Amino acid sequence: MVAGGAVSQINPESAGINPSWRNAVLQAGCGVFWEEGASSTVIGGLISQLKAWTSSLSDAAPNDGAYFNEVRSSTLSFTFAD
Amino acid sequence: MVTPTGEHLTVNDYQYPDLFWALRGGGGGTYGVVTSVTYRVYGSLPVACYILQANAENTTIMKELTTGMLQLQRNLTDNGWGGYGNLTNLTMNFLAIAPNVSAEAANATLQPWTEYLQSQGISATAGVFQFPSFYAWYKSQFTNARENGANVLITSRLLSRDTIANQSKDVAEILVDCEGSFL
Repeated sequence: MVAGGAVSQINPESAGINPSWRNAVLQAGCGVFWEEGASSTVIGGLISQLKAWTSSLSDAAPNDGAYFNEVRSSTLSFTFAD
Repeated sequence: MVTPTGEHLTVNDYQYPDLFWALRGGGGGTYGVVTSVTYRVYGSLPVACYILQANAENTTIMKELTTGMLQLQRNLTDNGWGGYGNLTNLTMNFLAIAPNVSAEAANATLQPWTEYLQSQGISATAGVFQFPSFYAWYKSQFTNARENGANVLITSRLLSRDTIANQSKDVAEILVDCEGSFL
């Protein structure tokens, strides 16, 4: 839990974080990993899997955003952390 | 700090306060390279640490366990705890710490969860451990510093209280399927 609770009670001016973070209880995430030297085909397949999980997370939490350093240009609508 | 445009700036409440604000938040490295920092520091406090390792007999039970864990996070965060957990389709590892919390207060916060684990017959190893300081806790957990880094891409969501209350089951389903993490 990097957010919410006690953290949400401090002065909002004290830290530059985005609105989703201020209202969050926790951050949930999925990842894909590959070995050094993996082919672009393998990596492309993993990215497709990641996009599918992102889409599922968006469906489960349509109003919640993401930590902006963890949004990729490959996501469908990265300005809304899709 | 040095900005992406190559300027070397002194940043504080009076000079470039917008940058000072941004650097104190999530993703400070996004705005430049900080070359020197002056901190106001506070006295060292004792740290309580909760460690859980749980096993589920099948994926259905694992998803129920994960739903319960997501809901527990409200208890923890409201009482000043922070931590992270990792999932596989049959196991959960979770570690959280809180500053200046007695063993009694820690156990009170965790009691609903402990009772839940017992009632569900979940096979788990769990406990609250006290450390005299954050550094003592850090040394207990990170004894072997070594090279790190990996080829990884992640997707993440900052889940609101409302989502945790109403959508924990759906999120747990995804997290177990992707063998994900939560923090």
